[in-house]
Amino acid sequence: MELKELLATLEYDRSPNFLLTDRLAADRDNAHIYRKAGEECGLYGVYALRGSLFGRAQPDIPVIYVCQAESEQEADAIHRKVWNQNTVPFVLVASPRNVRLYSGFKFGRPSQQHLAGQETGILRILTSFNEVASTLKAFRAECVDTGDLWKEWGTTVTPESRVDWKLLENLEELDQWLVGSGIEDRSLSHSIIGKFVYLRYLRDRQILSDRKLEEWNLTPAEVFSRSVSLESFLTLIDRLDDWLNGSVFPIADTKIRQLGIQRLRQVAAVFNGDSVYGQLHLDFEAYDFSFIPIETLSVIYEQFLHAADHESGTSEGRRRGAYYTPVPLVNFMLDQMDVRKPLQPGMRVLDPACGSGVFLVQCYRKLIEQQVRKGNGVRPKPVELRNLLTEHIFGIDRDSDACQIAELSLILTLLDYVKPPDLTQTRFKLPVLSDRNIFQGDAFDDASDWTKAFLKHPFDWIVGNPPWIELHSERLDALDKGAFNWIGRNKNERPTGGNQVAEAFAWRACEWTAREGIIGLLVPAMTFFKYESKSFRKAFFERTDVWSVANFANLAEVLFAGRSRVPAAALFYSCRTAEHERPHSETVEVYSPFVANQVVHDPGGPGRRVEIWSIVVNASEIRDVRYSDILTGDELPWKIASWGTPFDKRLLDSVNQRFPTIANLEEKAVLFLSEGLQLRAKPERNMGEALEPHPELAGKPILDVNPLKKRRYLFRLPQESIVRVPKESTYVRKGRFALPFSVSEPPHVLVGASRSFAVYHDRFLIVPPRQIGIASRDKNHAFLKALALYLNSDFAFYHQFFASPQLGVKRVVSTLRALRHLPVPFQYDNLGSLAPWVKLFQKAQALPENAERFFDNDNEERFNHELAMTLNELNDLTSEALKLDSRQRAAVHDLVHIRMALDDGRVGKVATRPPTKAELQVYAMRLQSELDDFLGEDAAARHRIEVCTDSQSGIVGIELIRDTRQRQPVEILEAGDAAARQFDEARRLLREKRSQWVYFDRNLRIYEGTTTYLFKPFRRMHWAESQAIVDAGEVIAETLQSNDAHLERVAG
Amino acid sequence: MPTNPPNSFADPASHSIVYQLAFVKKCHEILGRGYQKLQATTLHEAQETEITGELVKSMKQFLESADAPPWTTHFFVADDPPQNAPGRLGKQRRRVDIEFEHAQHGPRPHLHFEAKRLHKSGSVAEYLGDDGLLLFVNGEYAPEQNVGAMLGYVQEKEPTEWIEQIRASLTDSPERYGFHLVPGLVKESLTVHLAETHRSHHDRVKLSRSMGIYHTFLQF
Repeated sequence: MELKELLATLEYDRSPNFLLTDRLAADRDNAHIYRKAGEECGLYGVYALRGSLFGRAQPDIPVIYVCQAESEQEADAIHRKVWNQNTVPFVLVASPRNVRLYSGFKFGRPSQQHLAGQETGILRILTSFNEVASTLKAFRAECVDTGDLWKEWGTTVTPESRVDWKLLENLEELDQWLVGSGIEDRSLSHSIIGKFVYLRYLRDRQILSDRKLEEWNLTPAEVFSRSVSLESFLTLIDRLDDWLNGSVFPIADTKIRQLGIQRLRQVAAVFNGDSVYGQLHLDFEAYDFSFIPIETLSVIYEQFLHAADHESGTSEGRRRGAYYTPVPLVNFMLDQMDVRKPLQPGMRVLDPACGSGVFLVQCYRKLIEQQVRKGNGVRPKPVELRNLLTEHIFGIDRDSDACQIAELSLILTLLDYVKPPDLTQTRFKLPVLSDRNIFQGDAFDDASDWTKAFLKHPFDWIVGNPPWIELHSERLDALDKGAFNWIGRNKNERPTGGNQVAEAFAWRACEWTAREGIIGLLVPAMTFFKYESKSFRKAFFERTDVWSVANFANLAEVLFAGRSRVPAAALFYSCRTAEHERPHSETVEVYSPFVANQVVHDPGGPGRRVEIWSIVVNASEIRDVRYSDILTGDELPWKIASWGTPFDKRLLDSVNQRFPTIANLEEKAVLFLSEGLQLRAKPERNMGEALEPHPELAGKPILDVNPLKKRRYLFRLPQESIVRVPKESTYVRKGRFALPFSVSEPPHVLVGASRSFAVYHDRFLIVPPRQIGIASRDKNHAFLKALALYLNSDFAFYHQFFASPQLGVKRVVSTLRALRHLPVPFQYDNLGSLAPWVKLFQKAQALPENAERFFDNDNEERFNHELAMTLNELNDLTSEALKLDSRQRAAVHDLVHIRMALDDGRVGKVATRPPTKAELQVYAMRLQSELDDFLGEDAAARHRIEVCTDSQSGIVGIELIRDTRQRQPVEILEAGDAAARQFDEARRLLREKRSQWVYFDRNLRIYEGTTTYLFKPFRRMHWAESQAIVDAGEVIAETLQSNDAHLERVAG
Repeated sequence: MPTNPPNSFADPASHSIVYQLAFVKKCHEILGRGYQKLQATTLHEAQETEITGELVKSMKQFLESADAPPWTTHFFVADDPPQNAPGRLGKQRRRVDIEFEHAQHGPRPHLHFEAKRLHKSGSVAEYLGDDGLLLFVNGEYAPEQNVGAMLGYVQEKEPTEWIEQIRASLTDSPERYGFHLVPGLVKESLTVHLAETHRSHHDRVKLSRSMGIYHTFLQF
């Protein structure tokens, strides 16, 4: 089948998003991968998501490779190579007889009998144009641009079968097998596997060529096959270490002998691709290491080193706080840095916790590719490559293995650009990196020579993923002593929260940064939210210039392929010095991606998670946070940036100003609250914790929260949630008895740690740990009933969500401190003020026992009509008491009932289902009233709003009508309506200018004459009433910002 | 990370004209409401910074009050924020007296006010001088914007007397102030809460553009 016709059928030949050679060579992130594919995979072009058209720092993301092959066998071979590249989800290969569609993320050799059909990664084989046109309809340019491709084919994109995960899985299986074969020293197993990974890599890359082996008097068979001999293998290792300056992962001769020849042969056989070996089914034949990017291999290997121990379930890496950095995240961070201060020859780069060197490899590659582009495709000479490496790239790590992998990865990157890579026809010598560029040691060691050298020759870029670990003096690892002491010495000047090492690295990096240098570090997202880090934030934001933060908390479940679930954030900044004071910028750019907005990774519904293989920045998720707000050290600006708007901040400020809080009542000693009793078993089982006995607790009732999970709006406790304290658990942490016990006395309110329940209870009941009890000095039943009811209101949840550091970031836990900040809209000792609450409380008590709301697996809310009516009354009562207007009520409602369905990376139906016509009407009317209110009643202009929808998206047309004070109509149209034709022009503009808006800007605005068009996906979350307030604000602001307005015309 | 520029394929100025006037009116409405809440006479002898501080505090109270109109939720007001202008860093930066901001995600339009006391013979020169109106005209303040505002804190005589003196100074030296003699200093009615607001127009030679200045006079 002719390639030309395939491209015409898919309309790629007319699309600006189908990239050909020149564009591919200019790609900042993937040029080297495309070049290789062009040379060896028949790559003709790439259909891409054109992030570069939407923002300066956004790379183009490859979606479909289009390749040419001479035969079907060659097509299959191309598939294998592309799978090894680990870059693109789909591959179309045109060969004379047919067109084959492959998955770029799945490969299985057809010869393997247990694999068939899609298991091989062959998605379709098409022999006619009609078939191409019909079967590959979703691959047409327009369908890729609108996101339809993923709806039909998204489930075939399976990142879990990508080469990196497959290889890691295989390495771990091999490791298990070796351990099972009797090796007691697990590090030996790791070492030998690591050795073979790199030997295979060097071999596939023709670095360990036949010629090279011959030079060393070796044959391939005696070192790479089942017939490997011990002496030959040891010779190979010695020669290799010598040639590569000791950079290859080390393993002592004695260790290899300890492994034994039989095991060595078995491992060699597996790596040689012998199909089935004993109980092992490891298809190493599938791998072509000459195609696996070295950065990918570094990441795989780092994880292999840090793999959890099979017995203990913990890993050395995790214990040290070392979390791996996925390559897309590395590229994302480097792209942000590159926009701020482009990496140029002459600039020095440091990764202060370099691990296997993935950041450094990518930086080095950026420098090389720049030279390639400058030289119109001519690669730099080996000497130039060596200088680019030794003069620019530096790293530190305290793990010697990691240092050596980093060194080797950099050397291999260099060799990527050298021909021949075995250096047999050149006198070029590889550089020695150890102790010159890569330093093994503690980044907090001031005495080392390299630390002193860094101070003399600071760095222009500092980038990396430092360890995330909080240090505790009582269980301090010897390796952490340096960091711990540094934190102690600097606790006043450069404070950290909870001795978090990542925060110490953030400070430390400033010492090594050049005057105009910039820093990008991956840190725990909780750095921006947790109370303990407030002093860090306050001091750090004052003494640095933070320009951007990317909060990946919502992607935590999908970003690290299940290997880590700790929320991450990328922090970009430069450092201020006393003698060179610069103004802080007015705002900090904060990017908070939600899984629900990641079109490419849309799981297609609740309950499914698709691992991230690229990071698509959506402009609608970028916020500008005022720098003056973050200088307070408060966490609220960061929470607002992810989940709210300045409107929410105003709402919270206003309510906080006008009403006393629970803390105020506590200060007056009319109310007391506490977390529950921390009961323990007998002391001998709890060595190290001081306990006091309270045998009187045995048999007392205690709340069991397990039956309350997934339930909300409880107005009384179900019987099954009240159990008895077992007599063996009547010990309490010393000094922690009186207050927690006192809140167990009736009457009291029991509040869930997740705020999922707040129940008034008039009998003695022990409050369990983490849950909160509230009691009153004079047993004020009416107040406590009102409080329990109020805590079930939407507003209380809304308030606690913003006030609790962990909610919306890490897990569903709210704090006692957040509860103390809750404003109370009724008076403690005013029965008149409490009366409507008590009346409604009694009504709620009369609801049937099973009426409370619960969540099903899809996170859909379900509750009965009576409860719904009662809750409406409660929310009305709360809103009236707090004097919330309809807009504020909408903000509260929409967070609690729509956006919460996106918490923790979920894609809940309540947020992603299509909006109803009534909901569209509410949206449009709110938009209109916001815009008209802004102009004011006396202005002779009003807004006409029309909404035109189809099944995928909606367009809002906002037209300013002059010379009228009459309210203008609001209309909801469907795409087929005759009246909707006026939107054809908007659609045409959209196709021409922003065809891929759905990926990169899910709240796109286009200004056309007197009409403003908003383009949105057809999902409820984008059409909420509170979103209309946001949209109106943005339309107003952008219109005001346009510099075309002239005062004369204003006055006229 | 991409910024979020307006995707403007056509001139949006027709919207801008109406919106900008509305923005200016809203800022003055907040100013007027804040001023009304003050016990103005208690500040009869106060320094400019003290008056500004009290005025901004009063405006903030209005914005956070339960009876603030819905449109106020997008508005923020600050006193003394430093301004970014070429050639000035850190503590050298000028600090505008009052800044209004229309805040949401994305761009945040501003309206800046420079305040001066009017209480002695040299007050007009200060009001119009290098640390007054000329900060706008010379581009130190609001270099990106087309509109700015002056506040006169009248502590002696009547506002109308100061307005006439200012008008006379502007008319006498139009080149110094880039002042447009036509239409001159024109009375405006932006809000019922402010009795004396006027508007003038100025060329900003350094920036090769022009701007409008609103002058509001508050009696203390």
